[in-house]
Amino acid sequence: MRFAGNLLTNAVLMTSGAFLLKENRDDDLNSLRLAVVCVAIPFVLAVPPIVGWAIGNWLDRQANTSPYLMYLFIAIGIAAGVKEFYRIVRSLGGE
Amino acid sequence: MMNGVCMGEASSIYPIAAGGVPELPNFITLLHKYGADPQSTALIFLWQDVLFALLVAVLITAVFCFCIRKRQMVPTGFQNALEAGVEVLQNFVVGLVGPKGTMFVPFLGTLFLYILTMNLVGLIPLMKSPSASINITAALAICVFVFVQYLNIKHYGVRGFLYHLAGSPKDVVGWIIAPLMFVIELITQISRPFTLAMRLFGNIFGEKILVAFFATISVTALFFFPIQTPFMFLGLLTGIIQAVVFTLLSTIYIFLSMPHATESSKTHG
Repeated sequence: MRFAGNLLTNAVLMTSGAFLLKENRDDDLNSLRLAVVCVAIPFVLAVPPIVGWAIGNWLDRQANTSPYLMYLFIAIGIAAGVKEFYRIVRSLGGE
Repeated sequence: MMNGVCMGEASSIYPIAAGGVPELPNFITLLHKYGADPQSTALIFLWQDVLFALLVAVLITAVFCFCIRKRQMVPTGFQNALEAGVEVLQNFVVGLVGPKGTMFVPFLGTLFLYILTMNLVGLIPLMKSPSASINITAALAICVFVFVQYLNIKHYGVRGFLYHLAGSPKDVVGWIIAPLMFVIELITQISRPFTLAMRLFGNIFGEKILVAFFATISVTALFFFPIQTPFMFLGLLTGIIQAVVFTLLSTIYIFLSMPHATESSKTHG
């Protein structure tokens, strides 16, 4: 049991050693941030226009203004996506 | 046995999910299919995602309880491994949010461990990834959304938060575009849980389909040659990355709910 514990400790330390060593932490965090941006951005940009479309479509049906509000809210959704993208990149320390 | 599937009847065992996609069997589907009374297991069959999510929660709790049952000042064994893991998580959150991030480590750490375990548990034969269900990922995303909104209201107050949503206008031009900014910000806030839930669900569900598809080919056409193995390694990678992404994005949303985040953003801009 003790051996298994030590083995697990070594596994955690080996896989996460870069975070524990101060000098390597920044480099690895930057790589991680870059990876997260690459994985996260498609959804961050794609979802707000879809939400905008759904809201605009619903408002169009309520106000009988089809399809103008849908177009308007898709445009607002695109703006929201770009704003969120910018915000995420800024918070991750992107220059 | 391969992935917990009896070879002789493999093609008949593989259940087809609601959308007509292949799905690897788990012990609940097998119990439902081959149990004495399918009607009595129908309820657990319907709630299998929730049951697996509960199982994962119990597993994590049990592991942590086991590891800290004999706490020592100088940790050894499993306690050492857990403390190393917690330290990594703490460095990760503090590196992004700053010293105040320490107070969010329990929430974000739990989120990370829970999602990671849910993602990886599907690679064990006869188990299923609960995160391949949109209901589970949506529940997690809603938890983050509610927590972030609570922090927003706590930090800004209700009126301050509405003012913040309108882009914190200070001059006439700011007030003129405030309604537009408010709608944009509202859509941004609403989109966040959708983004979190859809990304996690999409990736894990896709990985599950891929493994099940190749496992079906392996069983039916390739004499059980395990061609799904590379995709299981891919699933391992996807599971870890998606857990990190979900946690990191939640960390960013928490960071953005703090008043200094807006100030530092404006200073940098």
